[in-house]
Amino acid sequence: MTLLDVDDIHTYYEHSHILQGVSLRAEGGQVTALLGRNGVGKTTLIRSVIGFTPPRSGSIRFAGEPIERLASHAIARRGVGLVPQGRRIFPSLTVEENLRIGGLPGRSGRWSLDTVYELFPRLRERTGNYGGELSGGEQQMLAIGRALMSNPVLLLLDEPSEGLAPLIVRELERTMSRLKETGLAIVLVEQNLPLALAVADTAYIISKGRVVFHGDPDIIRTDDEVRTNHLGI
Amino acid sequence: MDLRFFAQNALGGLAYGSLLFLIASGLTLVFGLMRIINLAQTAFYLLGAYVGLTLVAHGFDFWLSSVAGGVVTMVLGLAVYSAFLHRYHADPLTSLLLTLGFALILDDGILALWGGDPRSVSPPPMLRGSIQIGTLVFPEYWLAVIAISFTVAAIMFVSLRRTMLGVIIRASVDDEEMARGLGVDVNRAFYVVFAAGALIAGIGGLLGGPITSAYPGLDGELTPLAFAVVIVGGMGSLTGALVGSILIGLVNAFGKAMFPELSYFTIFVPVALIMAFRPQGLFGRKQ
Repeated sequence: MTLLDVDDIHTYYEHSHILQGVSLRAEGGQVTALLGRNGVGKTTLIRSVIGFTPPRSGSIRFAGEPIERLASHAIARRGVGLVPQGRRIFPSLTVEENLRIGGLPGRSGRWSLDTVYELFPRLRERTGNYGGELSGGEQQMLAIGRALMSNPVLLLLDEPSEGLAPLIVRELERTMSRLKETGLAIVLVEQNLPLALAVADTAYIISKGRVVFHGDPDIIRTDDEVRTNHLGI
Repeated sequence: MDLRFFAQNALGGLAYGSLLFLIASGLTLVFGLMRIINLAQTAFYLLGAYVGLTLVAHGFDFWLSSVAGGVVTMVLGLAVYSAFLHRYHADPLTSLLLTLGFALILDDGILALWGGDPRSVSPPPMLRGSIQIGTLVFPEYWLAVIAISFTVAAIMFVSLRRTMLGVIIRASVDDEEMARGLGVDVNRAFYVVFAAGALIAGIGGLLGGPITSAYPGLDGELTPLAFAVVIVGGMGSLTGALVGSILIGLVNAFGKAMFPELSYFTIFVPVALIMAFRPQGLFGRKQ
């Protein structure tokens, strides 16, 4: 079943035409990787889906319903969880408050304060600490936990490995695999190619605001030409 | 400088600062949350004072009249907010000009309805006496105003720290867009904060009446002080508003007593120093 159906969207920042007719689909329960060099519009695509920067034209359907004209909070409440680039933990909130605000949409499901703390025991130890007092790895756990608290159907993960030590990145990979096992669909924007290819079921490569490749992640792994032409590696 | 001079001015400064807190708390939270600089906030205070003193003149209870003045002000504030200001979040210049316009309209409305004569306000009968400690004499009403303002401050602090609404407000001050992206309807928090700011300033109007009295133009005199509080304390910080109110209240009282011809100078030199060396204010976060 197509959970997220992005059809020919054009998104602008002021006068800059960032997304120039992007279409992609994310299936329920699968990991869809968005790859591409810096500044090609991957984060803009995430921002378009969550409604931070709505597209000027084109449509975005989530679970069959159009969402491209909805306010961000309404999109989130339908079951879209967001782990943004840079994590954006609230520094004036404690770890527990960061999680509680994530749970505000009140959707029922497997995730609660207790189950998030089971997934990330480290966060339980830091429950009373303020968001600004956490390490990068802890902030990433908190950003994921905060998004899970709303029991989303689709998780938007934007550059989760950014700035993390290799050991923590391996932990992140295990976390993503566990989330996938729960049936959660993930749209993953990632610069770390091995990480993205390890968890992805399908992959898109974006270049200059357009989709230039869509297919099996194995093709990207094995086809040097695809990597050289579209990713520059 | 004898003890009596010091004690009287300290208490007077604290009482005046308490009133400033009732005005500045709403100012700083509204700015921190919505980036709206509300130049009509002191006009809200003045409107609350006139509504309250009119009710008192008709025989109503002082405290009830004060709260009624706050409620009338809140309703007007909400009307202005939902009809106009609501559209100009994160657009400080437009909202600044709009609120300046509303401050002028309120001023003229007050002048038309109540005339230009200053109105003195008597404290409620139970608080007209003084407390004498040795040779020091403190008006009971000043102490009551300080106690009330600190109670209001305590309620605001507990609400910000301990309620889900407080969590939403703090999160939105940190990163409004992210809060929206998590499914939080931030607009509802905006309405609540704007309403609370107008309510508290409006209640403060009659409470402050026995200290500031009420006259057209009082709001214009209070506005620089209220903004000094916000600048000193740090925009968006309630702790900053409390500490800033006390500081500005004390500096204002001692400045007027010791260098009456330099009263604005004594307030705005510290403000200028803070802006130069700590532009985010004592408790504000760097933008």
